[in-house]
Amino acid sequence: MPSDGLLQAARLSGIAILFLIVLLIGCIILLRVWLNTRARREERLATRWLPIFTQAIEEGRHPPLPRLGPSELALVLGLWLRFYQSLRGQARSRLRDLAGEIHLAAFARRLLTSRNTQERIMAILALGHLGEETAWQDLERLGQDDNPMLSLLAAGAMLQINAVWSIEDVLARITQRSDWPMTTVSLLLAEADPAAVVPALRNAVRLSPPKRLPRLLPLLKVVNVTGSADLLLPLLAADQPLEVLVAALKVAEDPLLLPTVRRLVDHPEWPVRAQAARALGRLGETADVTTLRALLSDRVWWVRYRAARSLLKLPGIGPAQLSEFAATSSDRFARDILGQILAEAEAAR
Amino acid sequence: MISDQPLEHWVLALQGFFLLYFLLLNGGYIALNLLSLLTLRQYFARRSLEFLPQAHKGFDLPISLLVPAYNEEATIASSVRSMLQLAYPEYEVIVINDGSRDDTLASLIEAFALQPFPEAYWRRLVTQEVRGIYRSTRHPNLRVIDKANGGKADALNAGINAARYPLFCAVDADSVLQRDSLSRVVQPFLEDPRTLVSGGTIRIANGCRIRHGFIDEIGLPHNPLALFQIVEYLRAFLFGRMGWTPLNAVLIISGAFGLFRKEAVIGVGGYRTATVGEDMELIVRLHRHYRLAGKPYRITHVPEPICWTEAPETLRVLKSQRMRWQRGLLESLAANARLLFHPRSGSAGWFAFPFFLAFEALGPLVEVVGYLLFGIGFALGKISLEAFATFLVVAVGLGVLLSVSALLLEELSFRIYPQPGQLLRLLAATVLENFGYRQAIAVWRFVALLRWIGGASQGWGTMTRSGNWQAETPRPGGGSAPPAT
Repeated sequence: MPSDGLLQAARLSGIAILFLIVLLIGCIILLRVWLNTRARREERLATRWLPIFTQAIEEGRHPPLPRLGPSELALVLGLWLRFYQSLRGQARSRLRDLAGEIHLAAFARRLLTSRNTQERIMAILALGHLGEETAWQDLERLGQDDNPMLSLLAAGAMLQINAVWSIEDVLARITQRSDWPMTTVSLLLAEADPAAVVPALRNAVRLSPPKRLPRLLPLLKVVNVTGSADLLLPLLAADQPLEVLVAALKVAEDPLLLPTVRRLVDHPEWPVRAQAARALGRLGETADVTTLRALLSDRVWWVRYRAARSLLKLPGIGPAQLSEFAATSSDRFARDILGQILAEAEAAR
Repeated sequence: MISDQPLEHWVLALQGFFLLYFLLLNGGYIALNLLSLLTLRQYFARRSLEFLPQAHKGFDLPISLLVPAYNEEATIASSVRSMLQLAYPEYEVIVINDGSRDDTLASLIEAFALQPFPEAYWRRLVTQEVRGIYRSTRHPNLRVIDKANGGKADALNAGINAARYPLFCAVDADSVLQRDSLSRVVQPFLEDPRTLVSGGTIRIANGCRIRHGFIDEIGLPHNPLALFQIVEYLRAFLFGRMGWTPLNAVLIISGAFGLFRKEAVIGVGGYRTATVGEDMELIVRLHRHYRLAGKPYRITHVPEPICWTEAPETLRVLKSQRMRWQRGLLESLAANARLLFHPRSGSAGWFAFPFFLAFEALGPLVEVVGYLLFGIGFALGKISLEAFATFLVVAVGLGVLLSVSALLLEELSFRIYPQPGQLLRLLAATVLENFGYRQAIAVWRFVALLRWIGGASQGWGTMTRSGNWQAETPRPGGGSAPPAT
């Protein structure tokens, strides 16, 4: 027979479990009811506000604004953001006017201290779009937040409000915050004022230590920095770290870099050779045929593949020449990869 | 009376053991539940980035979609057709015909106008012989590898060899994807460059309406086995996977849909062919390799439902599937036993591995033996009716409680079953699955455990593919999917 203590414990556990089951089922049902009620409320609000937004965007005027309850402001802010982010030009300016009439900026500033992350994100985005300089200090503080999303979007908002003031600080943080996704960083920089971003980025590349460069160099392409030979030449020295060399080769588009790129096709690290082969496709001349043909026999597939593709991009080289190279090559690797590239070129036609 | 005393001590000790085991097991699940809440909260906050409509446009990483196919003649063409319509800027589809004995290859050649392609195939992982590579003349991003039969793992390794892009996504040929599946599952790679694997949440397609290879309307199946599996999947994905995510200790990413960093997988030797649980084994091996080497990495999971699969609707197929999963789990843990309590193994080796070993691998043993002993004890009069009934209430009640808590997580997050009638049916299923269904699963897993200990081999079994979804009707069961919880 089980001990009374054990049985009593099991009995109490059973009662507690049954109680919890009933409680959770109650929660599920109440949650469903609450969510349905909220969805209906949101629907009613959208029905009321959509014609106002539409008329404001199209005609620059709108019917009388309905009175907004405090709980409705966040929903209207969300609606406003959706419209704003899907439009351009004059429509955006009209939306900003409408935001002024419903005091959206003041509400967004209050939301910056909300405990709800989603609300804070909406507030940051809105303040950036509205160019709200009064929120500068709050955004600066949020730019230091541990949460990568909040800090990155706050940095983006600061770039929108005043790129000249913020760009140096933002670039420094891009190199330090490895938790900031480069995709979003690229997007925010691409939308910022290039007159402020380009010189600051050039400066940052020039002054940053090598370990920070792999995050900065791809941005040269994002913001279309031209004439970057002076910046990239020292970074394409063979003794630079592998990551720096690869990142620099990826953005090497200035013909002045051609002699330096040619020297890197013999680098001991295959990612460098592959990127050098690729860069030769962009920058190379007919004289580079010999170099690229030699790379067709490299021991690494990617180097052979990049070399074969680059050959086809060189001036005066077409499928007929590639077929000839394949026919005259004594190396099986070279023949195979040329066969593949020719078939790819044929399929792409 | 004297001879009864040692027996009573045994009974008492066993009851104490079972109570402690149940406490630890359910304490673990409750902790996972709380962690899932945290993960879901963070996920939904991150999803707010969708306010940026162009957030990742033009920056997405290209993906190779690998689709191993063995005797998939009935469904392969429509599967591939829907995979070619995914909303993602740059991806390729590579179907690997793993020596099918039916007309899988011929149906692909005909449906997509395939032509032999002279590809310089790079054999980085050793596989069975590749007989030929084909490329579609209609879809430049579709290739088919025809190879000698070597099993799913071998087919995936051949696909990895042929993959052009840095990320590959392993997909079952019968999986139904959401149009935005790839852009969802790639997010962790964009957000954190240390990410090696990102798994997708799998849901059950039985009862759903499928049009043109995509889910058109979400519904619940009439078949009770499929309905119970929906509740199981809620548990498995909403707190099984999500709970382990913040600890970076997810040990299972479903073979039906998972995105991998190619070089990392090649670096650990690719899929292991000598196991029936190649998907889990690879994940545990990646943990072992990276933890023990002290390399930073992340293996994560996307909570959003992005892949749908058909669940078995017959006991025979379900039994074969569950026994295979149990064996796969045991093989995966045994092959990577060094991870267990290794000084550098972190949460994967100190929490997840022991949890899976004690409660998933050996759980069926404790459960079945527990039921048996209490039954025998009751029959012999060693356990009173009250104690027996209390044991049943606690055992069944805990099962119901975990399922209901998974349903609550679903309501808090995705609510993919919006009708009140659907909610009521799911609530009923959370209770009814505890009367017979779960016990049957426990017995099958127990048998698989015994067979594994005895060294018996286990094949893939026969998975009946209906091919009905080509006719755009609700799908009955067959296919493969991940182990529960």
